[in-house]
Amino acid sequence: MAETQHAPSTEDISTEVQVARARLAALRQDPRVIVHERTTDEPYEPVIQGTPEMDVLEVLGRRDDLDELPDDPA
Amino acid sequence: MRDRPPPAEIYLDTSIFVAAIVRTAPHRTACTSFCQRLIAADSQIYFSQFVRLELLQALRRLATTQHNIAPAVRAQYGLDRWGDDPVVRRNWLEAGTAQFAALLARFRAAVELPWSASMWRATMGIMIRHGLQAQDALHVATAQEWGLHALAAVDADYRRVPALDFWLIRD
Repeated sequence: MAETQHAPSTEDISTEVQVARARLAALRQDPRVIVHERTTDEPYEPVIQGTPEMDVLEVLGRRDDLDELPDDPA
Repeated sequence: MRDRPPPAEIYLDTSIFVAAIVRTAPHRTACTSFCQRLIAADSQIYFSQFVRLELLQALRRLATTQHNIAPAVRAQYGLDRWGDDPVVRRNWLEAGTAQFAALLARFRAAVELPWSASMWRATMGIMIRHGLQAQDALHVATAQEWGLHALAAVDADYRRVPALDFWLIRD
């Protein structure tokens, strides 16, 4: 589930793609940036088996915040 | 919303990668589904080089806590010997980073963005304005430095930044 603001029109999407492609073309010329290209069309399937108890934010060390939003579902 | 088309370009927080590469992890279904939508739409993804550091720490945390990884996998990698055996540490970290690389290889373009001193200042400014933790603020600063508005995460704290086109990805 993802939060959203509005559904973009087809014209918005076309412009968005053009902007994105132009940005990528420029970044390809920037030596500080690494662009990883697609090398496979196979579906991704992880091999590391976790548990239902795993807490992604705890694993990332982001559970020490005493100032969480009041309605934060986390 | 599932009906919302995936953006042409989006910054991914480390939480998306970590949830996606661990099978059965909470939010893994949502994160994998979201990544598949980005892949199918030929969306470009962006991430900070800092993701690589956070990923290593997350892999270490997964290995050194009992409740996060399935017992069979813990036994397979010998994770109970984590503190004593560098071979165990190498095998686990290499397996985890290989999963990250395998996921990146599916996207049309996965763009790895560098950090800088100016972004450190911007990170502090975001911490001041929005009360985020440093890691979260760094990701926002990186996205904004490179002109990216869409950011996806499992971490809801990003809602504090109204300028973001924030995608909260959860099961």
